[in-house]
Amino acid sequence: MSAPAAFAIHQGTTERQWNFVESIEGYARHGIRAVTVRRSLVEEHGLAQAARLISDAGLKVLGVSRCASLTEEDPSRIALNHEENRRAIALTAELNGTNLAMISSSLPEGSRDLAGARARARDALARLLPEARAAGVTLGLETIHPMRAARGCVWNTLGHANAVCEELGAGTGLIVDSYHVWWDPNLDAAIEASAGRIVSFQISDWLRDTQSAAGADRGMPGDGVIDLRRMRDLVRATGFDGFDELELFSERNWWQRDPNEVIEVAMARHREIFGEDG
Amino acid sequence: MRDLSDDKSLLSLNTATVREQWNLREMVEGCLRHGIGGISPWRDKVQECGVDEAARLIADSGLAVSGLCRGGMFPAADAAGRRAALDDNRRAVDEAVALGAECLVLVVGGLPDGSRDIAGARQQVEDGIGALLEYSRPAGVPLAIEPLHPMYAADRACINTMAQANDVCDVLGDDGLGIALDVYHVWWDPDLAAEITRAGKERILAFHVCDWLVPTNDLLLDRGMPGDGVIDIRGIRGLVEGVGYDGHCEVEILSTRWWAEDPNLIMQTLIERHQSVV
Repeated sequence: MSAPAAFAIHQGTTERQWNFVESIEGYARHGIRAVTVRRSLVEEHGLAQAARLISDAGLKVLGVSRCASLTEEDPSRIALNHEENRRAIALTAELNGTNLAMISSSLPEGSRDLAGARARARDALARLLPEARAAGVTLGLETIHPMRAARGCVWNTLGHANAVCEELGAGTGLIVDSYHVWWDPNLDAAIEASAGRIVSFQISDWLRDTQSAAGADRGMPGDGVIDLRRMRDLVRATGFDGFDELELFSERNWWQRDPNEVIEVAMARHREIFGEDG
Repeated sequence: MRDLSDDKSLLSLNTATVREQWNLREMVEGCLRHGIGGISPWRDKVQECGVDEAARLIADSGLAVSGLCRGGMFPAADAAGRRAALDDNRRAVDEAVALGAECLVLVVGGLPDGSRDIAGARQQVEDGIGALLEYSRPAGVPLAIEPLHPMYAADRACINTMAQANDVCDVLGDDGLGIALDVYHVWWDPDLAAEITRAGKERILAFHVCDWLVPTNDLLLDRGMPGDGVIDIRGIRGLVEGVGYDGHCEVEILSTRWWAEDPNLIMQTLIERHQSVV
């Protein structure tokens, strides 16, 4: 059976089981049309070969995950990461990806200055923007759950990430991941205010008995508490007409299973939640 | 900002911190022995001791009661469940009166089993607090809404930001209603300073401290001793005292690691960190 037209997948979903080649071939075999790739896996495989493999498989690249840290304090590290991020932008362009996922990292070791980390992340983005604009790559700011505020990412609400985009302008966009934003009391308004900026909509579920503060105990859509249908309706009402991208990090369950099964279950859930033609 | 470098009287022991080691009598005696000024008991410890006996014990000790933990858990799948929650909350108010508690802390509850309607759960919380206020206002017990970290939105509390708590206070009125601010739950919030200002002295009824550890290995029971994590506790205390808060600094550490330690050592560490970190 072919995949629902709007179904896409993030390579992290199968990264414990499949290498780069296995995953791209596997996704194509299931009729999936679009993918967000792991930059590390692309680099490991070799960019040119990776690009050819993806294109031969008939897959479209949505995003590239992810940037190097944007919150370093040490000038030499800042310079190194800037160069790495310039290469990541070029890599994204080479793959015809729409966005580079900006997950900023957060507090350097020993720091308690979250406001400072937020300011540095914004400054690092601003320095990358001319490059991104010239390459036609959107820097996709990803809102990450507040439980990852210490190390994962400094943008913890969609409203906050959107304010950064507002300030920096063209070349920035927003990645909306259901797992990270579902709890937000301002979510409806924040999605509406993000109109025109949403570059990616990622889905997984929040398990009621979730075990991991590191974000690796996500649920298969339908297994948790998120009203995904409602959230997708809100996202689409802004004019977003892209994919529903499964990003399912799951140490205790789905990373332990055969990826073919994971994909089949996810596509069936996609049909149940969003309807046959979703 | 108050100088705590030589203080013990403004330190309050939340009984959860040593709940595995001591009963209420031992906690009261421990506070007196170590010269700590306040205590904030959980209801399980009060009930284990007997409410009358607990009230006598605490009154004789001269300890301030910075709060009673906890009421709340308002949402339920049906009307009978919500009535049962309200009845239990009225008993909690009675216990707070008996103990002379400065406030009853509300952990408001998450989604009813099987529900994906977080907006509905939030409405149930607002309705539940509204109903409880009719009982708590004449009793003279202020209710302190505790915003909990967004990672608890599904199962413990669907009020997850200071802004939301302020909104509920706006709707229900400030008479007998306010907020318990725990740094662990709100430290990440980019709007924290603004929402503390909005809350002001009148609404901030309690100030709880512990620390966010990196890494955090358990969502519930891996909180840190002040100073061991990444929260700028003194900075947040500065904000709270900047609007006039003059109550206790209550230490609430839910931690399997600290529960395995000698409680007298914990008390000494609490005092040392209260004076040096908080």
